[in-house]
Amino acid sequence: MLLNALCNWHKPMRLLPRLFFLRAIVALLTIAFTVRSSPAQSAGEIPPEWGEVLRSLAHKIAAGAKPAKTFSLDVRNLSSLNEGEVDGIRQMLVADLSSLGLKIRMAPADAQLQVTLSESAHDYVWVAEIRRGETSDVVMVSAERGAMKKSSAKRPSLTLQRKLIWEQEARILDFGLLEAAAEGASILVILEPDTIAFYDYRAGEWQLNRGIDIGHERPVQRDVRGRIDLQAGKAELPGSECAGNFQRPETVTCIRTPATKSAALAGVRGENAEDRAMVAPACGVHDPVLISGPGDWTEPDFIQMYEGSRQRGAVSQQIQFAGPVLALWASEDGKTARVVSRNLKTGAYEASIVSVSCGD
Amino acid sequence: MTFRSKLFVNFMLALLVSVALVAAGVTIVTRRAFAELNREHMDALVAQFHKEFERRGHDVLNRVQGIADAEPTVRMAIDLSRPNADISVYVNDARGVAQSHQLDFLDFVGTDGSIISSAEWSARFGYKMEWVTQKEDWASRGSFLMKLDTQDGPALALMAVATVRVGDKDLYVVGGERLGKEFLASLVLPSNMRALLYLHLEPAFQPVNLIDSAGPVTEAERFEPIIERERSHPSEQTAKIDWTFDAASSEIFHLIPLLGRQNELLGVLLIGNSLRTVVTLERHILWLAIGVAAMGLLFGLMLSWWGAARVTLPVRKLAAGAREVSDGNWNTRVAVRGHDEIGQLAQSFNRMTQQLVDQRERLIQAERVAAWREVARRLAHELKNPLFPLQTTVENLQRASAQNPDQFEEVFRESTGILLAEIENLKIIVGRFSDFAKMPQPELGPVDLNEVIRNVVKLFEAQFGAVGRPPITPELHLKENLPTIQADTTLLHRVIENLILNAMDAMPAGGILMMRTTQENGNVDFEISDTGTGLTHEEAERIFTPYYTTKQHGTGLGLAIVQAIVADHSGRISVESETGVGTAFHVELPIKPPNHPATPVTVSEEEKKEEA
Amino acid sequence: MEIGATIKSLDPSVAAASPQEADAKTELDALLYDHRGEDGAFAGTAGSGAFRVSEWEAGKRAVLAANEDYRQGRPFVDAIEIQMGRSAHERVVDLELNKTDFVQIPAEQARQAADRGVRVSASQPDELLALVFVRSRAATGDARVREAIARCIDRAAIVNFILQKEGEPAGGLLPQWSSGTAFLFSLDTDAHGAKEIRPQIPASTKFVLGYDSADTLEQSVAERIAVNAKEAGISLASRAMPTPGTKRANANDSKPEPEIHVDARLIHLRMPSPHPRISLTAFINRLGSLAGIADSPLPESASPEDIYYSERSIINSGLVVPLVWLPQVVGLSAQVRDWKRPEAGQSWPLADVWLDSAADAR
Repeated sequence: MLLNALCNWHKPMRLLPRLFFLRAIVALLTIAFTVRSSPAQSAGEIPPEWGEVLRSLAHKIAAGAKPAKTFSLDVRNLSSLNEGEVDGIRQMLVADLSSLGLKIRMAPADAQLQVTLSESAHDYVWVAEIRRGETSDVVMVSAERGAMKKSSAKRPSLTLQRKLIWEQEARILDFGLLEAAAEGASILVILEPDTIAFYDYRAGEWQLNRGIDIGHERPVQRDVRGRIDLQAGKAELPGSECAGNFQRPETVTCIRTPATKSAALAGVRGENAEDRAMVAPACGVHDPVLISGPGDWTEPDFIQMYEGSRQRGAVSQQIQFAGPVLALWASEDGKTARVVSRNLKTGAYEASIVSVSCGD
Repeated sequence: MTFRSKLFVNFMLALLVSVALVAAGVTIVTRRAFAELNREHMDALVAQFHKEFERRGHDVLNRVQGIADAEPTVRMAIDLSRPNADISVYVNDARGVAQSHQLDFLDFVGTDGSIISSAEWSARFGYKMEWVTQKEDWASRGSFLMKLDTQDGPALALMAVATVRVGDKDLYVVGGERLGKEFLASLVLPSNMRALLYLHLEPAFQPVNLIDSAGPVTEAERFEPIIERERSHPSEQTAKIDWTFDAASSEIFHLIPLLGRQNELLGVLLIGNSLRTVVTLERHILWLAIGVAAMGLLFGLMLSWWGAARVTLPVRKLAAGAREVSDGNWNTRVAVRGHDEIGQLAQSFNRMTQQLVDQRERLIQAERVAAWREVARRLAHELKNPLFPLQTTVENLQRASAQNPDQFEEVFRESTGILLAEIENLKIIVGRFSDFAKMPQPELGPVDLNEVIRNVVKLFEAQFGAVGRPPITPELHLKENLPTIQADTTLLHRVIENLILNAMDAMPAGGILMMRTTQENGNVDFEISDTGTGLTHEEAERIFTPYYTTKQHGTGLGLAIVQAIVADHSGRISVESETGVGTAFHVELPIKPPNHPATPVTVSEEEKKEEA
Repeated sequence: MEIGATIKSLDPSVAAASPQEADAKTELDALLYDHRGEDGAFAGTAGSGAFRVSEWEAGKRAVLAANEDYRQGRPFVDAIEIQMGRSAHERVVDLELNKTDFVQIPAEQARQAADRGVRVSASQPDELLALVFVRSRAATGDARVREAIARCIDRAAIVNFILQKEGEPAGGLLPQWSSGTAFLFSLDTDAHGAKEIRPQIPASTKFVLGYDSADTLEQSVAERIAVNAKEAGISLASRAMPTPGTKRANANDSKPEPEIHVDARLIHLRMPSPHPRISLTAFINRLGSLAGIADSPLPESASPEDIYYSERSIINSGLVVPLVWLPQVVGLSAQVRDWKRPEAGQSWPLADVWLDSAADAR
């Protein structure tokens, strides 16, 4: 059953026979992220064998730095070590250097010490560059990655998957899926330029529960953007805000707000700026970001995951859309992203969820 | 030179001058016409170039503007106007756009002058093209020439710039066409003209930068002086290059400077006009003119000769007639038809000769009559002398017989003696007349005149120094190697005798008798002169008339005989005399007498002076 | 499947005519042989791998059938039909038209293909494009010349513009993910420094940088380096060299091909293994004949430091100038499933993929 759901995930949600599959998929993704998440090394805990390596590094630094006694130290991390590990290494190294009579201080110092925590295909490689004036010496040590075997080289590849949740003729600014308080109920919230709509899943399909008009003092701008914050229970548009208990749509009311409040949604008039959404680290990617393609509203679009920025290279394949991506927001848990796009063939606006899985 | 020859020469001269003037005129006119034609061609070509250049410039501008106005470019500009725009997306765009718009150069340049995409040199992305961002209204600038750096070195191009403005940012579209041999190939040129382009890409003259539609020009070094001149003073000017010593190899070039945006010289267009056709044509015309002139001259020669002959024929006939007349053949008629002046002259001539003949006949008749009268008078005179004594003697006889019969025998003996003497005289006189009447025809043969003279002089040597008379000194000036003449020795002997006798008679007081022989104009001249009493003019006029004499004695036939003999030898005799000085007789004898011996011409002193 | 190079023979004793053919041959060998050592060498017999050759047209086409008895399990696909020698553009078009499932795409065209909607998968950068000074050339025998040229090269522009960000600038002979010390090699462009060295070089000296005439990336890079050098006042011209093994235009032409002399050339060095020692050793062997680089072989126990210093000595000699790291980029049809990006030294995982015939081609 779950397998079928996986194979059929591309079909619009409103055609899915059972809510169960939706819950199962979400749960599966959560589990997958959980399983593939960072190793259970807590910050500050360094494997004992690394201490030996660091001492060796300290000795090499001491030998190569003579006759300098004071150093300014900068540690940077180019490896898969987490912040806690980096801090721990730094502390240990400073201690080792101090024990060898070398002092670390802010400038001015006799020399500059640049320590880079790098890694090769198989090992951690920690490099110390000792700079004295124009000269520079390099010493380095290596440590096995051991059981952790963290290697960006062996990082599992990422796959993005798209699931179409809802489509309609009217413009969609944002949407959200809420698990309702009642057992087995879900709520689909659709934010439109003039309306915020709440749908219940009944009898195998989404049915409108309530639609609330959003009053505007002035006509909405042509490239209006909107965003739903499910956790806060509000939806924002330039000049308007709807808030309430989304579990109970009847409590939701919309008011006008100052334009400056929603500056973040102002967007760029008439231009299809690059949409991006930061998601939680996954599959060894530390700062994954989903970025849409550079096309305009007349072209099919795609979403791809990059490590930090487009310049640093893609880490996933592209998810193709039949039209432009109009909105891309990270979900509250950071593991998925909400995508609003428009199908150029049908003209319908589509609400999709993009999820990340490790492996192809 | 004969009249015919003079006329012919004049005709020929006139013809020659005319032909030469015509040929020169034709050549000059032709040359000027060709030069004018060349100028017109050149001007047309220069105008064509300017027009083509302008058209190309407009075309380039339109294409560049078209690219700037195209949607992809506008979208590029919009995209690049955003902060942190990714320009790397467009790095390869220029090449395809340039190809589709058939531009050799196309660069998309950002608002800061950085090259976003370059068609011709794609690797130049990121580098600055700062001149594009200079404050200039590119829209009104139009197209312009520019020196570009390309992968293969500097090049000349016709460029245009269009601007796409988005907000406060500009996207520059810089495009153009290479100016090179393809441009030259597009110019439509007559066959004797060519277009060259010098690309002024380097400070010094580079022969390899001078190109035509096929590529670098051969012997480009020859253009260095005119290119240098153009570089120092950029302006439209003309120059000539003589490729060889042959004028046909010369070529006239019209130089057009190609200036860039800041009026710097970027190139020189040379439009060359070969003079080969013109010179060849001129030469053809010249040779044709020469040929025509030669043929004309030849034709004129023949025509002139015929014309002169035809024109001068009546004149020649007249001249021939006059010569005949002068030769004594007065019965000459000139057959000239026509009513022009020559015809009239001929008629007058014929009338004149007829009159001369008539007058001569009358004169001859009169002379005959006069001669007969003279002969009769002379005969009467000569005969009268002996006849009177005869008569007296007979009368004496009659008287004696009648009156003194006893003295009749003595008177008879005396009278018969006188009668016989006078009868002998009569016989001598009759004999002389008979001799004169029946002068023998000369028997011609080669005669050495000098020898005859010496022989005759020898005969008279005794007489020259005879006792009882003043001496006569003979002086002989005989030309050596005098050619022999066809003559009768005996008759010549007689001539010389008579002349010597005559001279001796003229020098009763003695003197010098000079004899000279010369040769001149095919004649042998014999002169005999004395230092005697001389003759008056009237005497000289009549000296050769028979029976005319200035002496007391003599028959007066001696010089007439001399004249007759000279005439029989086809010669002529003349006399010069001065009273108290002397007399000289000149005898001219032809070395080879003509077939028809003519009446000897007696030339008087006046005629001799006139001839002299 | 479509690959750019033509493979004349799969016989291991027959040397490949070009590096491209060698790489393509390696990929096929990986499908035909069961075992590949850490040094990249294949062991066993052909056909012991996941596939066996069922049809072969040298240089044109091959069909590999699934090996039913493959030790690691029969591949999911029944056969792989290979078309050789099609151009990059043709390959992408075939993919878009669904005529093929898998194509090689040059790294510099990956972005363009992706923008057109092609499903693209790029490996980690494991192929080094480097500039190598030819050892027999006097012009570049002077270390100052090599330094000047090296200083003026703008790697960032090559990566960002020519490669369209599908690659990484390379300062060393090994990538960061392999050696961990690549960051120690400078990537900076020092055009000013190059200009300062320039007066020490004879003014009339002109250099020639050769590139493979069939490689558009090399051509673009060579031209860019020429532009960089020109800005530094160095006269450097790029010149196309015939791809090794290509036929003459006229086979009957007995005239010998004119020899092209270059002072430096661009070469591709593909990592045979993710292990830095193995790859560096392979690189040194390759560079030895070209640039005259002679270095002691690295022992198996060589540490990262040893590897770094070996690498550093080669870089310091100035005979090799690393330029960029290139990924292996492939285009996949929508039907291809379970495609895993191979690591350096690993071949295409064609034995593991399967085709979803129901997938939309979009």
